[in-house]
Amino acid sequence: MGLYTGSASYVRYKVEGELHGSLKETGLLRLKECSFRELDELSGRDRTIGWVSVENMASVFFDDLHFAKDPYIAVSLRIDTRRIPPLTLKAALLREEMSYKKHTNKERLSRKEKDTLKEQVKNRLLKKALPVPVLYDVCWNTATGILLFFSTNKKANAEFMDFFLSTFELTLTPLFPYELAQMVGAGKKGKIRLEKTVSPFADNSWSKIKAIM
Amino acid sequence: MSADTVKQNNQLGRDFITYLCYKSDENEGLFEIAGAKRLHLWVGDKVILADDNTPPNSIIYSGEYFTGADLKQAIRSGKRVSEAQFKIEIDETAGTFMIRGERFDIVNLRIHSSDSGADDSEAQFYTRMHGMEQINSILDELYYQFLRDISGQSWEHEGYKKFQIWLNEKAA
Repeated sequence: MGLYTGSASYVRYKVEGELHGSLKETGLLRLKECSFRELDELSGRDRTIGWVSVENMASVFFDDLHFAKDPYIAVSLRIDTRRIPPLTLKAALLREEMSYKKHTNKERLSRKEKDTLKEQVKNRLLKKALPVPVLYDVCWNTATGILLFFSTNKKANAEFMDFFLSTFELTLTPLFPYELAQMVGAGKKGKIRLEKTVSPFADNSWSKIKAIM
Repeated sequence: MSADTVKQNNQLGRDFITYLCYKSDENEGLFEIAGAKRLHLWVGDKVILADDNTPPNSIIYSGEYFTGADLKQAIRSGKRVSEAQFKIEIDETAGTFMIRGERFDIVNLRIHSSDSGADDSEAQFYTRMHGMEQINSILDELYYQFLRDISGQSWEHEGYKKFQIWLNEKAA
């Protein structure tokens, strides 16, 4: 979190390429296509992901173009998941198995019967479980092509990169030390060629970096 | 990302943060960046150092009770700074943030500027983004200085020797 309030934690990305067509029109179209949908609308699913307003996580209304804050595009990625606590599932399954044995006069259940019961119990409990939302702010400076994703969680970052690609058909390069070295070198009209090193600090030397500047 | 790439990123990132700690201590926090702009950057209340072993041996210093001598001792033992909090001041803006060497994550960035009291959300947005982009561009500039420094010939003959003197000098 942190685009509007509190302390900010983020990972920086370089957006490779540009959106085709007008930024606002194309951006709006893509955001609407991949906007967040409630789990209740998606039967049989336990997880949903999509874009919501950065100012209101319950809103998927983008038509007023409030996401376009020239030169930025600011949105939030919302992921809702229904989860069943493992012990809740275990208890409900044991209860269901006992009841099934009683009704069918069986002492033992086959693997297939157990799997079917488990699936039924899981689906029934999932319908009762409240979805747990998580929200990640995203701010893309379309003038510089630099994007901030407001979470440092590795799994969240991986999921965000995939979803950004499927939404905008643009890839993201995380600005980790090597990628950033290339970028700052290019910005100074130079090139930085980085050589592989092995434990450079073992003898208190620094990373071996060849630079042409 | 391959394990090799992760390791190399980690090495380069830790070298940079170690360099920042060294330069900050040596220059009493004063840095100069492009356009003759001056800023102050100090090590804050938390520093984590790690070596190259798998898994790494690490040491965490936090709070007010660690000194430059503690950091030097850890660096002499083969560790480098993998994560550190910094305090920064430039013009009317001051802030604190943690930076992690492996991926250059910025963590818990807090910015205090003279116009940070904006009350409408649009103004608040632009003020915060301006602050974050300013910190990012300062770090990019310092990173470029680091790359230029350690890749130049003078690093081997002069810069590295100065670093060694700093590393081995006793606290006054």
